[in-house]
Amino acid sequence: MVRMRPSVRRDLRNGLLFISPWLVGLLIFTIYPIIASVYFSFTEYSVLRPPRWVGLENYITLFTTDTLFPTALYNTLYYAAIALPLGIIGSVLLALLLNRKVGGMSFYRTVFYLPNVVPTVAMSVLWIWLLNPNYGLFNSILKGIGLPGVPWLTSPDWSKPSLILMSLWGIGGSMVIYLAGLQDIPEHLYEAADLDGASAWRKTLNVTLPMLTPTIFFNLVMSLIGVFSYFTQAFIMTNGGPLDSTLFYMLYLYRNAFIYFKMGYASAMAWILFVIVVSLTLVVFRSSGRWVYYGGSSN
Amino acid sequence: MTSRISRRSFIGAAALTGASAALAACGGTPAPASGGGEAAATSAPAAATSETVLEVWNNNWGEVYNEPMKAIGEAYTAETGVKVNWAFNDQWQEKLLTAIAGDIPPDACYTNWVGLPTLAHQGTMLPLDDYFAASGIQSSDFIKAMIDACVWEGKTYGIPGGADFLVLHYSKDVYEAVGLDPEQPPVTLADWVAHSEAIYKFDSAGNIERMGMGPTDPGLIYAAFLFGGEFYNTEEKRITCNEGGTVEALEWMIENSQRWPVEKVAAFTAGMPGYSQPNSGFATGKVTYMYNGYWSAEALDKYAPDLNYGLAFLPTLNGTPEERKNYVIQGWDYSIPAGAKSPDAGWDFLKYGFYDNAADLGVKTINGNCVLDQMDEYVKGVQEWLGPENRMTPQFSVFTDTGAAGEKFWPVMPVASRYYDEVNRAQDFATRGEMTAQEALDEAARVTQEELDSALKS
Repeated sequence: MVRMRPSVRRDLRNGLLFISPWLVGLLIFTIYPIIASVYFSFTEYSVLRPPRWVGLENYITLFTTDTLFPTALYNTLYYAAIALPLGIIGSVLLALLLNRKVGGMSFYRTVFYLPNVVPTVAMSVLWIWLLNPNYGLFNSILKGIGLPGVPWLTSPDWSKPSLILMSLWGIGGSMVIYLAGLQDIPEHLYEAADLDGASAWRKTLNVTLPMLTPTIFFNLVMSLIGVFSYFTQAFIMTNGGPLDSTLFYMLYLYRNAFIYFKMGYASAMAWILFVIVVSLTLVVFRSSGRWVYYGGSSN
Repeated sequence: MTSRISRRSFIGAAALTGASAALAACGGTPAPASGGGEAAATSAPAAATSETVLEVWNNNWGEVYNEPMKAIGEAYTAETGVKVNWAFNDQWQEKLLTAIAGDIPPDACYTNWVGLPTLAHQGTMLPLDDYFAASGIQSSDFIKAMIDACVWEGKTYGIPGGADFLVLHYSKDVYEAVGLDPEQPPVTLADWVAHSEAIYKFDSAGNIERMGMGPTDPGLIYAAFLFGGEFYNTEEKRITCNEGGTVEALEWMIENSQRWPVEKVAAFTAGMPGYSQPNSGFATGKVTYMYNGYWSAEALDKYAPDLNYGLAFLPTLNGTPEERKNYVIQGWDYSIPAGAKSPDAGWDFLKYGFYDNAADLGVKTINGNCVLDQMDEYVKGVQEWLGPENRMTPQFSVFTDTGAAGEKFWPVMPVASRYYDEVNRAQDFATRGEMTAQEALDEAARVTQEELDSALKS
């Protein structure tokens, strides 16, 4: 057994002591609930009564008889499959546009970032009005150019696309990170490309995007977690309707936990979601070796 | 002077603090009340003194309701010296759930007809029967549907706080404009449909410009009883929404949604100001009917002073007065959570506010009084509040007659919330043409029965 020198031991103890407020918080408010939720997922637990062990019953019910579970999962996957790539493409394009050296760029960057400082609840209420079929801005524009209005949030066919459209409003947050990534690309790479006679398109394709892939990778992982925990907008704007078309995974989980008092069932849902998100994140990590380029690495 | 703390005592204090926090956070689930008044007997309630501070939680309906609640608390304090601390919460159920789980419940709290039975079944509310008996209060003192909705497994878990007497408001202006007799509101459901056929107006593109009844009016929860349906067989503990009258009611609503498609109506009413705001659909004549309580008077006087409107009983199948017993009476209740620090004082306040002064509180909160022998006092108070010139005053008896006649209420069961959501889902799917009435209600019955069986087993 390796014995630590007294000074090292003292430093370790003092270090632990100094981080103890965070450590205690992490243990009580994060680690304990996570571990407890594993146990609760195998129980019938209303919070109001002691949990009763039911084995795999919650998981079996979710995958066999609960008809809303696949609906909620489908809605979330649909949203993730479209909102996630659209968000990345949109924010990269916006960052490329705002990375140009022209006057007033700071103003434009601020304007595009502004929606991110609006609280989600306020933003949701604002979008309820923008998407209003009678008085909303979008339908007014459509009618102005001779197109029929769209029943944005009142039709099950349009409700998810409406929420996806709304998600694009917040791409300014990722855009700022891409801007930082763009400004970190060494200038000499562009000079070399210029010497080789590369066009602007070539430089974007062969210099900018490869050098930006670590940032794209970071944003992809963060957005992946974000889209699967989509809740507030659906809770406020549509509350799952019409016809369950916006019943997202987290909304259904919330209802089970706090409205129907089925915390054990909700815990099982949370762990299934965790497995899905971790699996997808692992796929992204595994694939990153093939498409993420780190300038400083030997690969 | 700076006092030095040794490293040892610093570490010891930090460890103690951490351990205390951990123990506090990891406290177990509170023991549920065993029911039947035992919880009250074992909780060693503290006697109320002038030092007692009652914590009372309410839903947050805004200042219009919160201020009278605070006023009744102040009146109670003036009489007893016991201070009442009101907390008005938007997400009352979630907050109550976590407070009970954390063993820090309030002394009294708002509940409603879908939340109370679930909480009672979980053993988290005190049965109030002993308090009722000790105070000489009988169940028969209250509006029947309101007190019956507080009873689970033979025990009473709430005292009715306010009832919603909902009646049909109709625009006489619209009736006149389309050639209908403004003094002849619909009496039967068939009348209502026929009148609406005359009222609906569409533009050249088929969009609604003026609407009569909505295709899902008055809502399956209310319509089912009008068709003789029932939602629950208490004896057999069986969900019955997929039988008889409820299915017929939903089929009737499907027929109406074929006349006036739900999506078109949703598009027409989306973003339309509600009755309590300026330029509401009813005030502007775009919407002809409104199923609402007498609190509508305040907004109508303020925002639609020139509107000529009438009040009518909700139409029934055959239009007979006897069918009015099928009206749903619902509202809000107050309960005492198990583990409350001062349950006796909590009860004393609930009795003061919602029994002794029920009529006064009903008037001040613009809500329905639930105590029968105070009904005359309540009607007098409301009419004074409205004033003799008010358009609603001569018609006010429609509200109280509705309250006196209605006997139906949402079934009391531990999965009442889920059942309510499932029935509304069934209505939504059927009226949008995704399922037949029978299919939608079979699905609602299947899901709810499974949930109910599971809840009753536990």
